[in-house]
Amino acid sequence: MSTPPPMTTSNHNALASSFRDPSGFVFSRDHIIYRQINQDYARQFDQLVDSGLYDRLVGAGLLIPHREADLALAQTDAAYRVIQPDPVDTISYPYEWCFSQLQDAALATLKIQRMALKHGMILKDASAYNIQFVAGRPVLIDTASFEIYEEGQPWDAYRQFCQHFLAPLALMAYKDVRLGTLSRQYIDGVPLDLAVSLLPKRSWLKLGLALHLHLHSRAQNRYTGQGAQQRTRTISRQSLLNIVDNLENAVRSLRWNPERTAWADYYQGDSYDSTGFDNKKAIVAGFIETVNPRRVWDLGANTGVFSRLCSDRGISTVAWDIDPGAVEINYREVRNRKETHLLPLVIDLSNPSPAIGWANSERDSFAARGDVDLVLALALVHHLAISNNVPLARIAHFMSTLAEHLIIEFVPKEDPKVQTLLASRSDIFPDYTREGFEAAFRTVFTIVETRDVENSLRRLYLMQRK
Amino acid sequence: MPKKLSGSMLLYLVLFFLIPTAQAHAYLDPGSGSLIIQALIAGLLGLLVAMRMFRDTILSFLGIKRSPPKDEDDEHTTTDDNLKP
Repeated sequence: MSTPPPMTTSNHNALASSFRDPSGFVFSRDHIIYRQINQDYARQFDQLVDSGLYDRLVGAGLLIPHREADLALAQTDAAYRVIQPDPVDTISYPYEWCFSQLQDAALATLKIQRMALKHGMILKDASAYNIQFVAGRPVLIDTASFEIYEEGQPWDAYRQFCQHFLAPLALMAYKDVRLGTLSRQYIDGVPLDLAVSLLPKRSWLKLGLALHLHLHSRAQNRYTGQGAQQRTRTISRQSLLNIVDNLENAVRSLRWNPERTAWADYYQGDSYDSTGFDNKKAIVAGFIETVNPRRVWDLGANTGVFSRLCSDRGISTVAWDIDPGAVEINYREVRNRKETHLLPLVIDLSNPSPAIGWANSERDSFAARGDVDLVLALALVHHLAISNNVPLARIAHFMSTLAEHLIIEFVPKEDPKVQTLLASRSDIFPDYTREGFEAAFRTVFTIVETRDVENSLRRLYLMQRK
Repeated sequence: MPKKLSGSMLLYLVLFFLIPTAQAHAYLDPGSGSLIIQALIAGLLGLLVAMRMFRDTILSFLGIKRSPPKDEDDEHTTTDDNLKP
């Protein structure tokens, strides 16, 4: 048995998600992320810079800026350059994005493609995983995603764009917004035949969807496994630009607006009046000052009212919520106010994002991306303990894996919201009391401070992991 | 066994054979069907763009003004025309 040839293009220090593209790979060293650019990609990388495309994209906020790093950091002998891209605060994935985030990511990708074509280059991939939200906006993080454009060549990444962006957006707009999580099941975007089988017939009425989804899917089925060499035809640069325009129209024309859901009305209602609400904000703000965190996760953040107590202070904050409508409203506000420290994301805490992809290692689980300074768990624990039957001790343990500090609100059974949850079921929660709550959390946390919320039955706690 | 061709697919197939060949390369699998449909769509859009220009020429000849074409380098962020608070 002969020994396998040494891997010269990638390397065991490469991130588990960075292996498909022979142009280079991303690796981590001393907690800093670097990207190795291989010799094979030297021409393209130089053109990216020399053509002015890099400056234009960075200037437009579409590409992550980088600086040159020491070539000695290179992981293999195939290296041409080592670059250090600006760090991304929180990695997120398309199945965690609300409708408008996915739509903005799609539009950013198309803008980048258009600019690239005007500088003699072309995107070689169009994966939603190449986009990350940085300072509130979608940004391409794969600096090595550009190929030199040769007149006549088709856009190889067209299929990927349709599967990663257009298909899920159409499904969310035409069928059900929850289909945004379908991309968690399919590592390379939603298969077109599946998307098309779910879309209603009226989706044919949109030319863009008829062409790029319906007919595209039929063509895929018809020509599976037949050699691309014999079949490719010349496509002019203008045609590629026309396709980009058409895709952009198709993406822009898709609309989704959140309905008035139970969550949207959450802040109205009878758990506390406006005095209580203001008092709660003041208490939470005080706790935040005490902790003085760098990074915060707000769990069950709804539309981000309390998240903004952090992000408005310049603290990097992620606002996680189960309701795509709440995240949508939150994100639109981030966009309108041009906020730079808040990232709203969709998560079901009873079933958070798992690690997926090759070897279950390409995309990190929810918890693996945790390890922040502070978690906010306001108006949350009763949903986990009562609606989801999770014992308080397990909730405490889970929270302790995410952050050193915790600001948590205990919502007792007498509270109107919990009364609603218990209305249609038997009360099998004898330990769901203030004492039971404190005992459960004391197994992993120290209770640093506690305050009652005025005009309500709720109590706020500041805790620190033992 | 190929499926029976519908009328629209026949039209596209005719367009398809009018287009010459080229190479495709990069690490991603572009998908044979995707390359074909891309070429067809390119042809179709080219036709639509030509038709639109023809229509605009006729209209301007008749003295009816059209709004200028959108600037492709427009870098404004997504507008909130679909925003309902």
